[in-house]
Amino acid sequence: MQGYVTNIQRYSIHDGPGIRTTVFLKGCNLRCFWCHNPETLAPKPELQLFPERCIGCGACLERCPYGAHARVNGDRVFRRELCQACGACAETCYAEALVLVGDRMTPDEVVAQALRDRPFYETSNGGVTLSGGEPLLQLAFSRAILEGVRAQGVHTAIETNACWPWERLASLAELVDLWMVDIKTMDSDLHRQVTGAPNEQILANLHQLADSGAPVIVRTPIVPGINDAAEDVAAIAAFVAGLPSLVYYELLPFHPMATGKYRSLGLDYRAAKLKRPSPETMATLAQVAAGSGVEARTGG
Amino acid sequence: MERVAATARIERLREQILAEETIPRDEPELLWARSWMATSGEPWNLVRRARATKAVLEGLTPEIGPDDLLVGTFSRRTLSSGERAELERWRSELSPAASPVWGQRAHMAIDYETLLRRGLSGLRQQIALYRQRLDLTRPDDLERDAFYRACEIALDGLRALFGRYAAACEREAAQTSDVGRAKELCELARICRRVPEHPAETFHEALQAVHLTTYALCAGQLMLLFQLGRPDRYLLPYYERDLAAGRLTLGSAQELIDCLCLMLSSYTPRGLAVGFMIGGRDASGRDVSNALTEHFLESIAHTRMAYPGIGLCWNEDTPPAITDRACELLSEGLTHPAIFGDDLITRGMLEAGLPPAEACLYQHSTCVELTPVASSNVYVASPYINLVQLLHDLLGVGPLDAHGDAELGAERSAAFASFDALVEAYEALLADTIRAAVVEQNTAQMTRYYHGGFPLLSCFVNDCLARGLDIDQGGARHNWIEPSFVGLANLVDALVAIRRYLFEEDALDLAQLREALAADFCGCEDLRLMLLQRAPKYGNDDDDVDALAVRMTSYIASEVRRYRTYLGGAYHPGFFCWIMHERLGRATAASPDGRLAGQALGDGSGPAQGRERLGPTAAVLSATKWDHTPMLGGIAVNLRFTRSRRPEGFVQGLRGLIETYLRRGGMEIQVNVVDTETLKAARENPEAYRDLVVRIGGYSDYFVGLSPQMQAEIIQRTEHEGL
Repeated sequence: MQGYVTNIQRYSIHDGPGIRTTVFLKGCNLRCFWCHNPETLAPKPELQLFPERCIGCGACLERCPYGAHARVNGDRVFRRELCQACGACAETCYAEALVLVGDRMTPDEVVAQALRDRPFYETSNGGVTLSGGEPLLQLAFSRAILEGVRAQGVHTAIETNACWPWERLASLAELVDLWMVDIKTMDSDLHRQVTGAPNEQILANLHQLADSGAPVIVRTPIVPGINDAAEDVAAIAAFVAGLPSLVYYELLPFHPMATGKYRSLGLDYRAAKLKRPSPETMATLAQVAAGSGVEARTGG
Repeated sequence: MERVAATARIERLREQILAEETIPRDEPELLWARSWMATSGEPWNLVRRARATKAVLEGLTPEIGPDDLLVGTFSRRTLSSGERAELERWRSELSPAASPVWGQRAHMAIDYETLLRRGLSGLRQQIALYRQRLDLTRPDDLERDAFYRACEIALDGLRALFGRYAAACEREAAQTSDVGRAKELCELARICRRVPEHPAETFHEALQAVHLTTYALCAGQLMLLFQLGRPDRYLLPYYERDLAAGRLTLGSAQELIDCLCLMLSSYTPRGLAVGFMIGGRDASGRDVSNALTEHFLESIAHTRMAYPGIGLCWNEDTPPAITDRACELLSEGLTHPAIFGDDLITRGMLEAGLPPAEACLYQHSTCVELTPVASSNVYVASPYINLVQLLHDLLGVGPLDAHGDAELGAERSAAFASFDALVEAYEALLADTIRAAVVEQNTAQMTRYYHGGFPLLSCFVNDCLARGLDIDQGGARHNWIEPSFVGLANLVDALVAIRRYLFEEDALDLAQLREALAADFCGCEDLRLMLLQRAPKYGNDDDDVDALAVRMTSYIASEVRRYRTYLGGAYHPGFFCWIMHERLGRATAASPDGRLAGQALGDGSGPAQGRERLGPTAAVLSATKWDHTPMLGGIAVNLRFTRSRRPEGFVQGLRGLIETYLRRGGMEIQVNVVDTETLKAARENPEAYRDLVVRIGGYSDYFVGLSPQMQAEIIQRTEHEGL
């Protein structure tokens, strides 16, 4: 079995307790328009292009079997529609102007890498976090990784959008020590509008998870104009307050730093013009959430 | 312990030190010169040198600042034109004609515990007893007698210095209209009349004795860089007694400790480092951390200076409150404490032959070089050896000349049959280089044996008095020399790149590589990027790469430890660089790791700057795959972070990194939390950032005082993202 991995991030200190390694899988079933990690959306390898790093050596022109790299009137152009994401150009691009994102890996390969930092998990009560993209999109792959990590007695966490039939979540229940799930908004129509899917399933799953006693961290990315009003957060917090196994509720500010990544993938970033919510806004919203009796944190 | 805030006095002292350029040290040199010229008839070199020390200590102009609670620093008076001419003549004509006195000075901590407990009067009694046993018809004893006389003369000088400060305090007390200040000055006068002649009784007396004696060692012998050893141990009885007697409060104790740290900082020239250590186990294995450990830790937050460099000796029994506070201070951007692996270092000291009672009492002697306290005559970082230039010598690439050009010389060997043959040739060259360094350092030690001598210092370093031998003639118990090897990461990275592209893939040949290096990769940027980005690098938890670091470090350790010093001590290697990674890098041509000509070498024992792609955990794992135990010459692993938006997780993460590093047998780890924006702003507007301190190769310095190249280097180097 093989799956698509975007990146394996060591020394992750904000994705669950302690020092962790976060495995970012590739591919997502939602399309949140503000997504900070566009390179994780498509469930296949993609070529990223960073023209500012190009030293003009021309190696890519020779290496591309599909003619995706060309020189037109002296300017180098990349025709993404011809690109098969084979990675031949990226291999010779030492300047790293061309980067292939998305590795095909076996669960064993992922587990071996994820366990390199085990000495740190032991010192800091950390572990391994499965993230995305959406890990449940590659359910069998995710399951195999979690099994491998768990077999070594290492703490596991998963970041999922929970927008799946309950059975999918339930099938991992015994392998996951900590769940991290977003609630973007309580308004299902708005949810569909900004993510591509309604939220009923997510909310129902959260109830099921919490009722089963599984520790859950709920998070809300605060996106200007979507959910940054006090009543938006209050509604979410009221729901969250009803989850018995909640660890805490966390508000994460939108930031526009992904703009360059969208450009590198030839994607349009619809949230490019949005501003990061101010620390004051975040603090106010955290207070609003705390008003519902939940432990509310703000992250960066 | 309840934490107290820095007092207004401490803030004022701090501002004053930051505003002031280094205090000139012309006065002591002039006093020394005059004495030296006036004593040419003295038959005993040591006595003559002791007289010079005494003349300096008797003649120094006392300097007392309006906020000083501890007195003793260089006079800020400017020399008269006559004095300047006198000094100039000494420097240009007379001093150069004297016999050479080479080799390193200071870089040690004296026996403060004995100083406080016995006082100078106790030492004099001891000397008298030793002298009684001498038979002056025996040549050895005749020499010993001269040494003891020299010690007595030097101690008289030290007493005179305290007396001058006492008198100056009395004078100022009589003149000031500030009743509170007058009382402080009277107390200081009383203290300076009592210590160090007599054993210290109060905490304030102990601190004053420690400070002014340390200053006297510097001024009276024209030396610098004495360390304070383990003050949370030797000061503890005085602290506890005064606290119990109600003579001291937590606040007044903290203020005195802050003063001690600031005074030490005030007379240490910029760019150099002094310090002390706290915490750690005693000989029975008990962790000694106590209230003073916390006071000294807190002084870091109060003084916020580049010095003193405070080392925390961490072990499994270090109280969590102390580790947490240390991590908190570091996460706030302070560059101290550096954290040292107590058990590993003690094991290294035991292996070096120290008894348990001494093995637990080591000290970093400016940056990270380890020396036993109270009994050391160790030349640290002597010399610095550039590991990359040695590889270049092998490949036939010369050092950079004044124009920044490298000449192609003859290769040592026309072609290497295999990668292993190349590494073996490198090791042979390394062995020759180490051998040459030993000859050079032992020659330096010889000049000291015949022409040097520091009787004042010898009074406080075991076992000079007992043996009747000056420190320069082998009186100290430990006479080590610690060469330090710079550029380990670049060397490993270069070898790995050579292995891959010359021997495994046949992508280029030696001649092409040589030419590319000599030409600073001009016209072959793609080749440079291939070497830089594609060859794996040390610091990324890659066992194949790290194995070369293991091989190189163990080879160096075994070679270095084959030799003895002129005085019969051991050689111990180190892998830190102070500022030498930048200085040596500036003279080193482009290297096979993809580094450009003139760029800094790696700043310590971790990955080279910008080469860690997998973050700090992988860097820590790589840096602990080789044995640190024999590297008493010092190891510095730098962790660099951008300032975190989320401090809670950051402190916890930092603690996990540091503890894992130490548990895996790491010797020293230091942390630098700063953001690029602040550094850039400081470069543009130095005035507003004169207190911005950054960690460099094992020591700290003021960012705005660094060379433009060094500033650029620090801005460029890796910052761990995603915090």
